[in-house]
Amino acid sequence: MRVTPIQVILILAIVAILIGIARKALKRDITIREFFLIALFWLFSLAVVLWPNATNSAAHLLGIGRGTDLIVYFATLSIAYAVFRIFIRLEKVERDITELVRRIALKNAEEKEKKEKL
Amino acid sequence: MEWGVNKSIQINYMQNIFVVIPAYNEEKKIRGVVEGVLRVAPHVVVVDDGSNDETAKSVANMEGVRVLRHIINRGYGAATKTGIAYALSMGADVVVTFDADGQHRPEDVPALLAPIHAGFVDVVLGTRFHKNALKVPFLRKFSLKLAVVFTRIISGLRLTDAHNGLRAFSRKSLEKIDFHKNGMSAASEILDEVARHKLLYQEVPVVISYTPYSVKKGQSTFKKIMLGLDFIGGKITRLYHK
Repeated sequence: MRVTPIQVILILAIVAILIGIARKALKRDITIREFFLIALFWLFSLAVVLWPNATNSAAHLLGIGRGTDLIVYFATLSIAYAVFRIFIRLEKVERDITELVRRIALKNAEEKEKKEKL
Repeated sequence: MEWGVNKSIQINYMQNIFVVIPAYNEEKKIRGVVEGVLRVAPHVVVVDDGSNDETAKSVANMEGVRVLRHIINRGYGAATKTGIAYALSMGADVVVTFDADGQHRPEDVPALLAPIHAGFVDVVLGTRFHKNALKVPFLRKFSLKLAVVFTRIISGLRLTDAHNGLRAFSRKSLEKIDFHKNGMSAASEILDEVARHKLLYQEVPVVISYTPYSVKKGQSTFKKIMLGLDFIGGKITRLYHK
């Protein structure tokens, strides 16, 4: 099996990520369960990088010519969805921060009023 | 003015009028603006939206003025909403929104209040596009008209000026209007709410002074377009938050 330069880059990147999450798991930043789920995803990615032709049969089943195309379509969709979710999440966080800032402003004004009345 | 304002009616209502002025880094202008507004309304609420300058200090301890302070900058919409919430808690019958940069004239406020006092409408919107209007800079006019078309399509309101900071709301209308955008796109959201609740509204001619200062503080055409996108984004996420 000939290893192409892109495979080398991707393998190194995935191995680095795996080491990173292993460290996080050791430090208990993530639970063991989370570690296994994330590791599984990246190990699967590693397998696809090592044996790209293995994805061809799955692609053919769906009417897509090459396995790599299938991966690209899937990745694009996932990223688009993730961005959408983050966008919604961000809006919610922004709103919540504003609500906090507003409550503080109103509370301070209320206290000032009480003081003035005394 | 087409509505004859009965002086006694106006005095009757005077105590319950609150003018909300959201201000961000306006230390140079805010005091003059507030002094002008106090001549036409009894209560002014300045919302200092996390300014880095002396905005809050320059209007502190003025009779009839309450300064609310956002500890961090949250934007025009957020500050306006805070001011409105405060005014309602103080028993306001009518709330006027007024820009802090000196682009509005206090003498336009009574004309804004008249249709609400007369009981004709719930919401009065200032418009700078009318036959006696001063000239609006060309690029500004283009982007403002874009906002008008946008509002017509999205919210279905036929306005001549969709992004004017000078407005008046009856208490009843504010209890229905529910807006969440922090930034300038709240202006579109408010109009959308006016349409959604089928509130009665009217446009009233006002004069905007385009000084180099207010033009610099205003928005470019590009920014206006981004606002439109921001508003639509908010409309989409709204579906998910409820």
